[in-house]
Amino acid sequence: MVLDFLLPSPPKSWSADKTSAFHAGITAPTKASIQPVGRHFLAHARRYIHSRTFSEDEKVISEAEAAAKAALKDDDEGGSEGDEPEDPAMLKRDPKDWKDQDQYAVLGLSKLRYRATEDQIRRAHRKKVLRHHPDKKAASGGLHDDGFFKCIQKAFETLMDPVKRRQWDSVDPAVSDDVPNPKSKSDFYKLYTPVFARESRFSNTQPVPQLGNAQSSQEEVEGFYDFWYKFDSWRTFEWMDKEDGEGHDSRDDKRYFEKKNKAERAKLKKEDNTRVREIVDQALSLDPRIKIFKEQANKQRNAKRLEKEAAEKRAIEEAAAAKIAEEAAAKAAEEAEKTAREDGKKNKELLKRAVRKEKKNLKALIKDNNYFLPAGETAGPVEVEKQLELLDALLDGAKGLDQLEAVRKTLEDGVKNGNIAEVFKAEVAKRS
Amino acid sequence: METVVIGINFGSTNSSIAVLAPNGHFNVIANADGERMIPSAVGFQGDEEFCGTQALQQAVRNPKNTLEGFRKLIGKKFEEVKVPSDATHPDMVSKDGLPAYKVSFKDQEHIFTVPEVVTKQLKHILEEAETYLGSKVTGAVLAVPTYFTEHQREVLTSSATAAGINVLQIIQEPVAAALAYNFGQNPTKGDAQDKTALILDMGASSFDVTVLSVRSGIYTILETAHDESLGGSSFDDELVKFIAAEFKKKTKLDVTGNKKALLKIKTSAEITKKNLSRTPGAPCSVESVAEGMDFHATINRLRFELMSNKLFAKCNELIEHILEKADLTAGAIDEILLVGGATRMPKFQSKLRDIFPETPMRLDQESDEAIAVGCAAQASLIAGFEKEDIVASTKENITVTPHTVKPIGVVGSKGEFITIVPNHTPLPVKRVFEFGQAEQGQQEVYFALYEGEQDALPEKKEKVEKIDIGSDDEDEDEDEEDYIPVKPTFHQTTLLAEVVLKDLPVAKAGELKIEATLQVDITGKTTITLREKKSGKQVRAESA
Repeated sequence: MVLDFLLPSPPKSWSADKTSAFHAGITAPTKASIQPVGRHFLAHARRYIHSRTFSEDEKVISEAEAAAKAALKDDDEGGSEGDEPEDPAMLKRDPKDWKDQDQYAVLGLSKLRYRATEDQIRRAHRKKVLRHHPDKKAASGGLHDDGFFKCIQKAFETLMDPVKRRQWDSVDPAVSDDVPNPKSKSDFYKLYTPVFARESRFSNTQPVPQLGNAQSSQEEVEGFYDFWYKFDSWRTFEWMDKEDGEGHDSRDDKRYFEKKNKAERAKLKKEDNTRVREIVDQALSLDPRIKIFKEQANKQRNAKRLEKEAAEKRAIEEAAAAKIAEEAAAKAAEEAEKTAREDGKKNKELLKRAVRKEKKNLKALIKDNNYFLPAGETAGPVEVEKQLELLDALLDGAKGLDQLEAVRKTLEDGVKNGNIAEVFKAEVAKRS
Repeated sequence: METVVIGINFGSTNSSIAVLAPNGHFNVIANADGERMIPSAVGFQGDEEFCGTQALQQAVRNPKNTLEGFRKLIGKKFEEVKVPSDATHPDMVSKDGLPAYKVSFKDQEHIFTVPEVVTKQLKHILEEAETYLGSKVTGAVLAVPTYFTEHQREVLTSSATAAGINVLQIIQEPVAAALAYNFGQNPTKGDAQDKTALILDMGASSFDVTVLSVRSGIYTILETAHDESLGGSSFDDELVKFIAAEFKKKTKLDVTGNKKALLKIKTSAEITKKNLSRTPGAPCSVESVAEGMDFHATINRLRFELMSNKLFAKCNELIEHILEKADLTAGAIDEILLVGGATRMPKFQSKLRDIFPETPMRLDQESDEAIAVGCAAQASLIAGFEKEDIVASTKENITVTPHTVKPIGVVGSKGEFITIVPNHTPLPVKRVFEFGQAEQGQQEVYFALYEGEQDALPEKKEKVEKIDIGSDDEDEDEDEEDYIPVKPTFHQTTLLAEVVLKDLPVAKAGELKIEATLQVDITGKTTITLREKKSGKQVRAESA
């Protein structure tokens, strides 16, 4: 109740220290009966019996409600096996045809199918029995119709026996055996992951490698295809056997049927193996990862080849270059030789000329300087001859221009110093 | 074992069964004959015993051995019972002081006491319910009229137990109807749904009027009245008289003394009356009324209303009478709940408008099924409880509780009295209400609690032609010729308490919301709590 008015300030006469004042009690109440109906009365009675106040009661009730809600939730999670709606057609099935019934649907497990655990099957079965037991139906006035109950029992027997369950799972029509359309445009992983997951159930070796995704490593992918090409399936087609092998009077009949069934089973098994093979082949051919891996391998191979080719080319080039360089060097050497030879000739001539000049100079020098006789000696022809012979010997002894020049200088110095005679003698002695 | 509980309306003429369906709605169960109304009748013919529809079908041929209307004899002594002994009624004898029926059954004279007959009828009802539900019924709630004494209830319980019914609780018919209409059952913090209803239950053989108040979902019967001369069959009788007269006009045959002929006419008349509630004219045909002569006619609704005008007037008189007894004005009635097949009559409803021109009238439940539905609702509520707990909680120490006499409230800004706890509120009570505003900058608020008193009832005016006015409030603003009864108004009389909440944060007007909690316990001790919602600042005061 919201009252739309202002609460005033306390009146002037109100003393500041008071917070409340009671002036009168309410008019004495009269006793009257309240009607013991409805939930509000129940709340009233509850409060009275437990002597709770309004707020205490509210608290207790809300706590109880929360607890009840939580309990209900827990209960729900306890297992929804067997809670599926029941198809009325299924309920009317003739238990004689139990082999054709959907064993999982009968127990209300059509969603779980081959994934149902033994525990789940047990629980679903119990629920169904509680619902469909003939005694219960009779009690509720129904007819003595226990057809569906028989179906339940058969389904339970089948699914609890591991051999029979495998036989049934092998031919469960509700699980598709399709090979995906290779031309399908849809995502490869989306298309094939469920297919392989589905086929995995038949594998003798568990766990089964799964398709994975685009990020799977090459090893994984190769391992996957490797596994599936060697797929070892337990799938069996005994459920489809035409006639029960037993119950034939004649041994021949029995053998005949056994043989026929065996052949049929083998045929189906072969077909199934082909089918799996087809799936794997198709997947392999469509697998984008395989394409990527191939490309990568190609690239690697190419890279190696190119490197080799480049090396060869480089070697050839280098060899060619070396040859050219060699030739060039040879040519240069030849030319240098030639030049050197030509230069040598000229030099020789120059040298000769210089030598001659030096010799001339020396001869002139000797003539000018009294034939290098010691001062005071007059050059007679004998002395002159002797001196000239000595000079010749000296000149012969002094090979090359340098020596000649050195000789000349020594002699010139001797001339200057006035001891030419001694110098000359020494020189001759030194050189000849 | 799964609990399956049903509600049984064991009426004096018809019974019905209701059950809470899983979808949350209440289903009324049809019997093997497809009837949702199972006649309360037991018949014996030859070697066979009939109950319900079949018993009624052979009633015309076999009136001596067909037992009807035995509900009102429950728990009565033979001396208390008026015995109509003639050719159309079974013979009644006294057996151990109890009224008993003497019938011929299996070519022998048998005597069945009233409780035994009730057991037969209830057993039949239980069987019908169990056939329909396909499971065992673990408990049932039954409804009885308000005038049933404690002794009568006990007899009914033991009869029901003998029939194999686990009686969870016996509740009052008008209360069951209120429950079916979900009247005032959803009080919220903001709206306590304090209302007063007038429950009009016109069954086949009686007219029960009840003034019921609801306070926080708890019902208190303020006043009841009933008239057994008013009821669906009284209207049938009017119609029978008319048809007999018509028949006499046509055939010169007087059937007034011919009980068998009258019974035949009555069976048809009842159907015609029901049809008239829907259509303005209905055919009536009785085969071989007397001496092989048939009766065929179409009866006009207006004709029917004219002939039963007196009965309608009597209904209104009873209503006015009860309002006077309860010291209420017509305006104090918030809702009218219609129960019982006969309340479907258009004239009945239009007549009510004379007293209650604007009061909402509720007929949204199938009116003759409302009581059974209410019983089923109550049954589903208490289904999980132990029997002892149910018995313990209906003991007087819990059901008899002090009720406020005068309204408690506050005085509004215009000096008007605003009711917080109305009168007739069972104690203890807790009410939470909120004051929308506080003045700007105001740091202290003052709260005063008053007891109020209803403004004086206006003088009863003379009846105006055509329009029956029960009571009208005289108000200055109202024109004298305005017949609309206004809601009763109150004025404050006594200051009960004053409380001040201090040190409030400074805020603009309207920003602070102050929540007040008022509790009154059974001794009348008052506790007031004022709490400012934002700051959580509060003050609590308790009377000595």
